Amino acid sequence: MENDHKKVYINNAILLTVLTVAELGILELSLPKSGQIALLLALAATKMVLVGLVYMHLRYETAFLRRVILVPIPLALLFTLSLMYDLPYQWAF
Amino acid sequence: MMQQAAAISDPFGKATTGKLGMWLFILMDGLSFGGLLIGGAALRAGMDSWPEPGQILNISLTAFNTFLLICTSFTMVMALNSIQKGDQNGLVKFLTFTMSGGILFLGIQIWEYVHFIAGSEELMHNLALTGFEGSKFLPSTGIYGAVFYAVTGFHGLHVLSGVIYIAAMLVPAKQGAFSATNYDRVEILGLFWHFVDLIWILVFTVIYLI
Repeated sequence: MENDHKKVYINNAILLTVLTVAELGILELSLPKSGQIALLLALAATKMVLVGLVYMHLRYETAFLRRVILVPIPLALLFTLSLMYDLPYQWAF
Repeated sequence: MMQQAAAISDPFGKATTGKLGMWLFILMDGLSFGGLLIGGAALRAGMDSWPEPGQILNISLTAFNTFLLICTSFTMVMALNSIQKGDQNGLVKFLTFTMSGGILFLGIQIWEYVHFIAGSEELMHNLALTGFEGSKFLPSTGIYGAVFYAVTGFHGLHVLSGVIYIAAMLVPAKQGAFSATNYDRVEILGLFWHFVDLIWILVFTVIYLI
C-alpha cells in the first residue's frame, strides 16, 4: 500500500462509472422485474466490492482482518431474512 | 511513527487500533443502513403498488450524484496516496476536491428535496399516476415517501458528517501535521468517506432503480 497505485485507482473509478451506466441501461431492457432486480443487485454488489477492495484497501489487509469484516455481513443478512419470515404474522395484527 | 496509533500485530497485520475502530464503526453503521433498507423492502412488500423507477424520482440527476461520489472516492484515495509519498500539497489539494464534491452532492440532494417539497404541476401529475394525491412529495406521502426520505436523509447526514470531518482534517493537513510515515488519521478519514460512497451505491440501486 506504500506504493503508488494511481493507475489502479483511476481504472477502478472508470469501472465503477461504467457499471453505473450499465445499471441505467438495465432499466431500458425489457426484462421481467425479478430479472432486472437480480441484475441491478448483482451490479451494486460488484461496485461495493470494488470500493471495499480497492479504495478501502481491503485487498491489502490480512486474510484474518478481511474475514472479520466480511463474514458478519452475510450472517446479518441471513439473520434478518430469517426474522422477515415472521412479517406476515406481524401484519395480521 | 511516534504519532502513528499503535499497530496491532499478526492477525491484523499493520492495521492500527484507530483503523480497526473505524472498521468496527463502519460495520455497525452498515447494519443501521441494512435495517433501514430491509425495513423499507419489507414495507414495500406489503404494499399493493409501488412507483416505477423514474416516475417520481429523478434518476438522471441522481446518477450524476453517484458519479460525483465515485469521483470523490477517487480524490480521497489520491489524498492518501499523496501523503504516503510525502506530498503535503497533494494531500491538501485532493482533500479539498473531495470536500467540494461532497458539498456539491449535498447541494444537489437539497435541490431535489426542495423541488419535491415545493411541489409542481408535473409532480402532481406524476404522483397521481402512482396513486398519490397532492402536488408535493413529502415524508408523509405514503410509505414510499417515508422510506425515501428516511434512507436518503440518513445517508445525506453521513455525507454532511464526512464533509465536516474532512474540513476538520484539512486544518492539520495545511499545518503539515501529516507525513509519509504519519498518515493514519488520513487513512481512517478515507475509510469513512469510502463507506459513505459504498452505501450510496446500495441506496441508489434500492431506492431509485428498483
